[in-house]
Amino acid sequence: MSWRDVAYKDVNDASRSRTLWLLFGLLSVLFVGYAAAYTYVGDGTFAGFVAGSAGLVGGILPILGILAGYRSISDDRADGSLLLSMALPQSRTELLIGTALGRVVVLLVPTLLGLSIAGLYAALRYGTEGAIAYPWFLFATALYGASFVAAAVALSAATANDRRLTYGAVVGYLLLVVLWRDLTAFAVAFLHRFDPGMGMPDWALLVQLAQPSEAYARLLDARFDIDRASRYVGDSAPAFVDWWAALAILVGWIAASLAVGYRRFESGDL
Amino acid sequence: MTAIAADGLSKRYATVTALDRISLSVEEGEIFGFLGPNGAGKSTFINVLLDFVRPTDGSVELFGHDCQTEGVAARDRIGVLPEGYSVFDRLTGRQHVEYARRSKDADDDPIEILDRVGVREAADRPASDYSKGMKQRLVLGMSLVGDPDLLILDEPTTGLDPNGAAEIRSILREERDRGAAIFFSSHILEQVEAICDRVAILQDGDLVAVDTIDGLRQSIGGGTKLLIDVDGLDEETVETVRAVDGVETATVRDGTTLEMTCTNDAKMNVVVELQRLGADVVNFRTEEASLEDMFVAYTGGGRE
Repeated sequence: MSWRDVAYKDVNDASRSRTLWLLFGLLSVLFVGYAAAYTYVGDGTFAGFVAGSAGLVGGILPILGILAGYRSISDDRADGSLLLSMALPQSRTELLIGTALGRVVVLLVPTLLGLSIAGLYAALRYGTEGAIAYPWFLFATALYGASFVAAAVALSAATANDRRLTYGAVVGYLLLVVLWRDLTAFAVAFLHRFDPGMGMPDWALLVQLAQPSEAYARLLDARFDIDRASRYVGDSAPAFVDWWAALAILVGWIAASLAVGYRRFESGDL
Repeated sequence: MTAIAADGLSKRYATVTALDRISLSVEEGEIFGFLGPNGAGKSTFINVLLDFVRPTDGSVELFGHDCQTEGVAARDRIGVLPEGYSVFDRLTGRQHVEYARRSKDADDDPIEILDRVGVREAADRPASDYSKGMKQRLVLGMSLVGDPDLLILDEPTTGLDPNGAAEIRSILREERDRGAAIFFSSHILEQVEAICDRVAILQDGDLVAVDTIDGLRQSIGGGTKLLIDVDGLDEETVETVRAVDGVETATVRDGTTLEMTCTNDAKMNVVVELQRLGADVVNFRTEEASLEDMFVAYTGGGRE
């Protein structure tokens, strides 16, 4: 079970980083600050607070997740500390899994702590209606963050080339977060020869749902009544808009990106 | 059981052959020196053992486990000081040893290990603050965790002063006495000579010799070096002597002494040749050849 030792080492390493403590402080201020400011910007219900927080998390967690992971293994590879790890009786798979896990912990501990504090504050202030589902929000957030960390760590395992890492991280972010919806819509429009009357086919809906942030929204929709995701709900909606499908999509993102990273990492010389 | 068994191991890059069909074996409990000029392929060989690098051909086993297909099992009983490593910047010395201890599932006390390699007082400082020599000691300490049956050390004394190098040699002797095999590469010949049971000499990816140091001595000029004091020694004379059959090396020491290794048969021919050239032989003696002389004889060039 060497992946646990790798993760333990990685967390130990990160916990001495000033950046991480700064991040922890910023996230706490941000989430709690939002909880406090929500009085002025929202409708004053707990569910509304969760929806607002989810929007916040949805925006920053991808960036933080990518930053936390995209140089993890490649940096160790470039400076040579990876050699110390790989001289030990542990496999490259264990190193990859352990590093991903370590970085997930590094990202999620401050995020979830900050959100917990903010949630507690919000429950006291805006009433506890809907607060029972707050742990589900934390769980969905954890999965959402983990999917970006996994993709970033996989990227760092796939190449040690500085330029490719940077491009990979930027393109990955643009594709996964910014352009996914537009690209899907464009693909549909193109295939339908720009005839808007033909509507949205099921496969396009599935592609849209495969975006991590869309899956995250679907997960939240399962427990909170949040407008953002309810556009899919209808009698004729296909089964894959259900929350379990969203869960499967996020888990799938984690598994698939690690598998791709592993293939590249396993085959090369260090 | 054989600690290291390489069979026809080759590594070719696009334009260079880093290792050319290397076959060698290292037995349990011996100290094996791996010699060669820089760029000879020593580190490549070690990197294949550790599965950092995949061979193009052939295979190598550690204690019967293939280094590529059963890498984890192969590395299970070894301790390693690799070349070109760097420490984990933010981890302390103690945490480094702790990492190795967890991964190897050993129960050593990190402080005892750090004490043994002489960095105990720095145990709780980040390893990035260590000097080059201290880092080298720290990583040697990591390699000692779990009493490995084989130590693989790539240039272990890099960055150490002579005292530090001597300390490391004494640690290696302790490990050997405990029963561990030690495989280490070096281009510092005195160190190899001081502790190795056997040595291999690698040049341009070829294994040019594997033998005991005495064995190497025997194979060049009966293990002796010929020192001839000559009046009026000039370059032309040296060239002529070099051309004599059986002469392996001939160099000038202190301006007047001709230093050479050659086969026994060639000795008299050399003296005859010198007489013919009219050189005045003042003195004639022999000396036991050092490892350096042998190294020069085998690799045909100076050490780097």
